[in-house]
Amino acid sequence: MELTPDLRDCFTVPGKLALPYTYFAGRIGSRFLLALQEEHRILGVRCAGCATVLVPPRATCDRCQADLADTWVEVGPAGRVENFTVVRYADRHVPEPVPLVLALIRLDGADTPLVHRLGGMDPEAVRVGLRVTAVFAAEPRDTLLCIDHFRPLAPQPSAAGPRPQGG
Amino acid sequence: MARRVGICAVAQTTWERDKWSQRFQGMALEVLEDLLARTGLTFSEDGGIGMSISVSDDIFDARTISDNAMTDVLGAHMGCEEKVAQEGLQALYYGLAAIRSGHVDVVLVLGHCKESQPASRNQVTHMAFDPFYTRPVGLDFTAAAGLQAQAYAARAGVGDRHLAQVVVRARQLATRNLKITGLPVVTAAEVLASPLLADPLRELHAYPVSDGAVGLILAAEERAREITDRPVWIAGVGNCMDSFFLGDRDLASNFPLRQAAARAYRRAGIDHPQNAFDVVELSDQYAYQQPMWMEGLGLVPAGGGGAWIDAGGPEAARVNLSGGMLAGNPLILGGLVRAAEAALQLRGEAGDHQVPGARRALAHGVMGPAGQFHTVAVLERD
Amino acid sequence: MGGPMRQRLITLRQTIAVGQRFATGPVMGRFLMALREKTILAIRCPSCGRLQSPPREICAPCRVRNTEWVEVGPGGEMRMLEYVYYASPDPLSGETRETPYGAVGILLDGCRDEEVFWHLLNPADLDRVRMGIVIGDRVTRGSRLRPVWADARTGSISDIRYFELDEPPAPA
Repeated sequence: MELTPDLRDCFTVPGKLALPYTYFAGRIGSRFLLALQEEHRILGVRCAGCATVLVPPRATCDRCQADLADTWVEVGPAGRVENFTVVRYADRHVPEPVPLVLALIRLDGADTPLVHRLGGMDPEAVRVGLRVTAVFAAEPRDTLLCIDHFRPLAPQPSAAGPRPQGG
Repeated sequence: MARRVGICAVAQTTWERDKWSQRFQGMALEVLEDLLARTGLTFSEDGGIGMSISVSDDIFDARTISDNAMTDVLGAHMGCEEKVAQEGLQALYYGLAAIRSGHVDVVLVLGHCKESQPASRNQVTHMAFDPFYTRPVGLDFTAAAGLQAQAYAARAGVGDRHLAQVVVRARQLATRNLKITGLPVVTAAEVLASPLLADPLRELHAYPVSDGAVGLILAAEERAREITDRPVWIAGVGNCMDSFFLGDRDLASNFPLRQAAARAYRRAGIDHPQNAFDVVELSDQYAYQQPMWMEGLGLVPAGGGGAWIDAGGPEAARVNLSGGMLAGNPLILGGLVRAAEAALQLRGEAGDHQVPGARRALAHGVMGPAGQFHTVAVLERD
Repeated sequence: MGGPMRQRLITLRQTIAVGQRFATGPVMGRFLMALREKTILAIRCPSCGRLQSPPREICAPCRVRNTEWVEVGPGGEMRMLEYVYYASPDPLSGETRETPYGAVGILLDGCRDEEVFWHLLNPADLDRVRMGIVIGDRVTRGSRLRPVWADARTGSISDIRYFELDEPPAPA
């Protein structure tokens, strides 16, 4: 038999990449998540080297390499929308419903904004500078979704207005 | 003085939306055979190719350490093989280091990706985020780019109309690049009317899904001159990795790119980058990144992206004459294809988009959400 | 807010999954389509003459494209048995197969030396087969095996359900 590369020999097969994992939150991550779950308090860590309050908390400051264990400070639950986008595509990994507003929210007392979703308002009415506050999940969760979403502090008009970006 | 390293040959497959008839091994083999035919090289520790560096993404390939499944088509059987899972331009840096160390004289760099294989590109880039804080809210590279675009556009006066211009030009240029197939030209009105993905990003602002492979032969100076009469020298490479969490960064600041560029320019002995390059190939995965990366490279004044487009800057600066990422190259290969296209320009082999007499080029690659990791390479010819 | 070191630690169980559409390419595709017709194909290297099945595009040691298709088997001699007590999760499904199971290296008829084909062994035959061993001139024949074909074949390696013993039962 001769080798004759032929498209008739080619086909595709549906498959999947699927792997079961057990992720570990670590000591600092667990403390952060448990404070969210059990006390509805949001914790950050403060680097003594650069005086930055980091949220989510972590073990090491990536600028100073300082050890951040046990440098807890409480932040939020209110904060300011520093930046946002509106995710308008649905996909397996995108929480419903779409459009989904993902915002960088700088919690009061924190220096690094946290990415979370905004709810309780018209996606077209989100603005940079909006004051928002955490809405905690009714049931305990093992992720940042202990905060279900952020909502505006003040009642928002539902009508869409001009967008903040150029053009 | 460390020895110079030259790019001796370049090969790439066509870049198509869906190479359904090919395994990734088949695409890589096509490039390998092309490179061997162009150079007459074989694999050997005695004057031949002494090392293979592959570029691939395990999750796109759906294989752990996927290079192990293709050592044969990398020519790496019983040889030395190393995989770059970071952005592809980093493989050029690995090759440069291996040759400069004196351990090998000739290196094969070969990258592949089939973006059409997974159910969606966003599901793959979603995996780059951590399971506790950033995956649960649904982040992926498109959403991260939306956040960056929002922050940048306001600061640089870049609006929807500018972004449409960038896309229209890229699609036009792609028609002159024989390696790009099946990518229609679009009008500004079509771009402006295309659906929003993650504000302000629109569907047509995003680099098209593509499949393909690209490869280069690198060699130490004396060997490079034997292999080709038109070696392209790697004059300097610089990288910079920014923080993982988006909130730790000023997304519009271009901080990591400015660092990477400064390192590359210093190593290449370039004091005034503004007029240093005949050709610029940058990885514009989304339309806003073309003006933004130009600012970060110091080739456009900071905050001047919108005005630069208005003034016809992309044409004047000969940016992405190949069509760039917006003409469709896989995420992980963006920078490597940019280096390949820049090398073709300097070798006078760029066909319909050749810049006559091009002597010095810049190639740029980027990986991670919202431009976390940048690589800048300066390439020159004699 | 230091507090005592004793604290609850959080773990998260999650199966990451991305749907895929795998391409066979012309070489793997031809091999898989032949299985549908109950035929096992190998491909021959034009330089060293060795057979590979499943086939690869090239012969790795010779660095040349394979050029000639050859039908082999479908029966053969068992050369190697991997008696497996632990199963990793299948990356295609996240599921774990039953253990113990047998992975067998079979020298299909028409093949020689190291040209073994790997597949599964009928679990019922796990403790009834013997390996073939060649040490110098001393040759111990391995068990004869034959494929058991799936009724509904789709062009997949699972078109062979497993190999089973193809010998009269040994006297008790």
